[in-house]
Amino acid sequence: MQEIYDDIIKERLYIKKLDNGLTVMLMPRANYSKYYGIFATDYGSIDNKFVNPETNEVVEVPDGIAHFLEHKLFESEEGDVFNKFARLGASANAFTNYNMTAYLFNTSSNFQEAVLTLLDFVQDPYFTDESVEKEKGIITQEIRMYNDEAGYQVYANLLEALYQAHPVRIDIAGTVESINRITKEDLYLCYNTFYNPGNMVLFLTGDFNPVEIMEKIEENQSGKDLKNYSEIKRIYPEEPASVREKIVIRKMDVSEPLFRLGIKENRLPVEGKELLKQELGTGLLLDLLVGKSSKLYQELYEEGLIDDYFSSYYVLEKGYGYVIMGGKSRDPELLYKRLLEGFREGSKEIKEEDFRRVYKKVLGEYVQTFNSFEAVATEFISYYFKEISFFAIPEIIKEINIEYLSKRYEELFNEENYVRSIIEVS
Amino acid sequence: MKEAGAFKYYQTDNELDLYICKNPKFKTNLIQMVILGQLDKETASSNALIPFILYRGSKNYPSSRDFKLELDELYGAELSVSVLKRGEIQLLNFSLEIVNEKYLGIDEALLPKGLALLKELVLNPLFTEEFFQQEKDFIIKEIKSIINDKYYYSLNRCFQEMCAEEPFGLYKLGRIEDHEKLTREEVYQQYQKIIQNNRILIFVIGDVDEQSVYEEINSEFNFKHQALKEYNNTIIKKEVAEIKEVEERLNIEQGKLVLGFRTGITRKDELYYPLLMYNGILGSFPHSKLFQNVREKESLAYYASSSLESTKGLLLITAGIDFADYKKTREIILQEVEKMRQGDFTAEEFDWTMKSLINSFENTADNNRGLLAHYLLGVINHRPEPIRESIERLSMVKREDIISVAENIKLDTIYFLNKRVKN
Repeated sequence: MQEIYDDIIKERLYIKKLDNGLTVMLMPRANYSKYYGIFATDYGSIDNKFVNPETNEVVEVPDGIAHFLEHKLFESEEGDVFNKFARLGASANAFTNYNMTAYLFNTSSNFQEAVLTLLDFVQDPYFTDESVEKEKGIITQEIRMYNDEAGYQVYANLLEALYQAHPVRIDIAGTVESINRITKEDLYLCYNTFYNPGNMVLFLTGDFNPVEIMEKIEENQSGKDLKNYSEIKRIYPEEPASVREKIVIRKMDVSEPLFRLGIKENRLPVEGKELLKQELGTGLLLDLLVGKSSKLYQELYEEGLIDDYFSSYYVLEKGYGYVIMGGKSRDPELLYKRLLEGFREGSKEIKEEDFRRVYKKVLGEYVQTFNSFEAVATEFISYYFKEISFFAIPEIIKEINIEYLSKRYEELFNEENYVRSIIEVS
Repeated sequence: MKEAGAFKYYQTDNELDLYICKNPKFKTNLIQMVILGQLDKETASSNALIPFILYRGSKNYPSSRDFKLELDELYGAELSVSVLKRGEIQLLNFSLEIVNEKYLGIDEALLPKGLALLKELVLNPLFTEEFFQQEKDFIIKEIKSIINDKYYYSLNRCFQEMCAEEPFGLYKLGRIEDHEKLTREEVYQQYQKIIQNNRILIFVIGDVDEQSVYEEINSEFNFKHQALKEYNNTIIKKEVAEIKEVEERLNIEQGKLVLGFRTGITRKDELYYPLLMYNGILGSFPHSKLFQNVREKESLAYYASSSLESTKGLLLITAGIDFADYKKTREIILQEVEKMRQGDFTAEEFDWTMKSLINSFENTADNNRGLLAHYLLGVINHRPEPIRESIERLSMVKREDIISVAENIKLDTIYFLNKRVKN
């Protein structure tokens, strides 16, 4: 068991890769009565085309299947999995995003039993034709709910316009049409391909003894005969550098227009450290240009073009990345023009002292993350899948300087990479 | 069980109520100042504007950007203002969360700096005509934008219809027509009035030294203040003369069904914990009746749940459904409510709900903002209690208590958000 002590937050992380390939991460936390556990697979909605490990054939599965599978794992041969957790006094949940699927619980009692229940239900799929059919009604309502959410639609439309081929342009939940094509056999195929222990991580945090809990996990895992493929072959289409559409406009019942500006990232590092550096550096740049403490933000607010909900952030994953910013606006056209001017001016004005200031902010936010079990667990897992440790942030941020930010500005902030998504008042 | 969410109470020389919770597990210090006022038509709109005007600038930080630059310097401290409604009380919140310096390897004490910034924001405002005008425009837009979120809109509309004749029917940010009539002078006078006379609470949660935090606040926040008013005059209605049915239409893909009930029970009542059990068995967990029957058994909805408003004594049931399933869903929900009245729930449902509620209390104790919200609700309902005590009281609930709660639950309003018919 590897032990890492972080001198800044003064906590320890224990990591072990078990014989069956499963990675286990344990972070004990004193004085908490809550325990939190998350069991995740490196498999999300973008993994819709891959090689069937049994037959070596390339298969393409219906959109939304990773999310559908997440719903269906909560059904076991003995019935509803939620009830197994309820019996222990634990509360279970799950989520699917573009890159991963995660199953989780929190509890203040019966921690060991809850951990084993989590492992057992995820590692024991049980799908029937009948239960698959039944789920379609539920997920249809989930999709329809999102279709009515203007704030979600303006974002989904933006991703659809940013990308020409990459599956990140497809909604995580799929469509009512695509999920209705899903069969029990499709679910087993995806499960068998992506839910083997070598592709998964278990992260636990709370006030426990790591040696003791690790033994329980190993005992549980060694008692199971789980398949492990040496390599999972995912197939992503070639994505052109250019965007699909410059602007996408839809109408909905809203009080005033919703606006998002997206910027497509074409510099896509594969190596973990490089990826993290680019993620942090671009985030800093964005903060300086249009963050809450920027001159531009203040001006746009005073001009009544944005409100306090305006926000911006940068996403960088293996294979895709983008900047997204926006909020409600009385005049999306004018806001766009002003943002463009503001980026140009702001990029010339970045000074050493501004840089030092936002650096402090990043460090403070890093510490603050450790107040939330949910945030810590999710960050550690998603960075693990990107092949870097969340603990690396304070070190890597030191490598970023003003020259790096100017280089990033030149690479990213070009009008040909920009896409606008607008929801107009119907 | 670990030390779960106990606060020490202090009163400052100028009658501010200070509640401090010390715990080494938190890596930040959270401070929240809450100004309490009765929710009424005359003052709701001007009160709601005040926090947003204050955040626009103070004498030493003349723009909101100046505040935000200082927050970056304080290692990304978060300063936020908000307006809430709990029962017929309007709450103006000023909250600051700042990292504990021992995790930054610096000697500079950050908490006093955070307190100074909060003091500057609340007590040394610029309150210009320009700030007033702009914030008034923003708040009007904000009120109009409720419609952008159809779920929130449907809940709010149900409350509004249900309590049309009570102050609770007012939106937390007030009314558009009242905002339009306001002047800077009126709002400024209202600001001075609430600062001097309203009940003001300050919460501090973190790895702090209680006595020195008390002394710091007692000397720094020594403005002229004398809390005169009783602020909680919430009307608790127990009876319903006639069930209201309201339907509205918008361009949407999913129907939103909201059922509003009167419980007549608030946090200070003996029946509050039995009510929590009632709500848990009925609809606040995945094992609850609503989730199991509306979603799992009938596939009618993605969400179907119930929740409590524990200062006003209301219960809401919500579900997002296909338009065609309105009658059927409504019928199933009412059947489940009827089962509760008849005591038709198993020992297992009772046991799982008890455990789940204890777990959620324990979780609350481990989360600084959750802990604050829990204690705040206790204070404004005149029954502040540490989480440990809440768990003890919950544990004493008997099956019969839940059945006697069920008899008090009265359906008041059925609200349905339907699709617009295309011509």
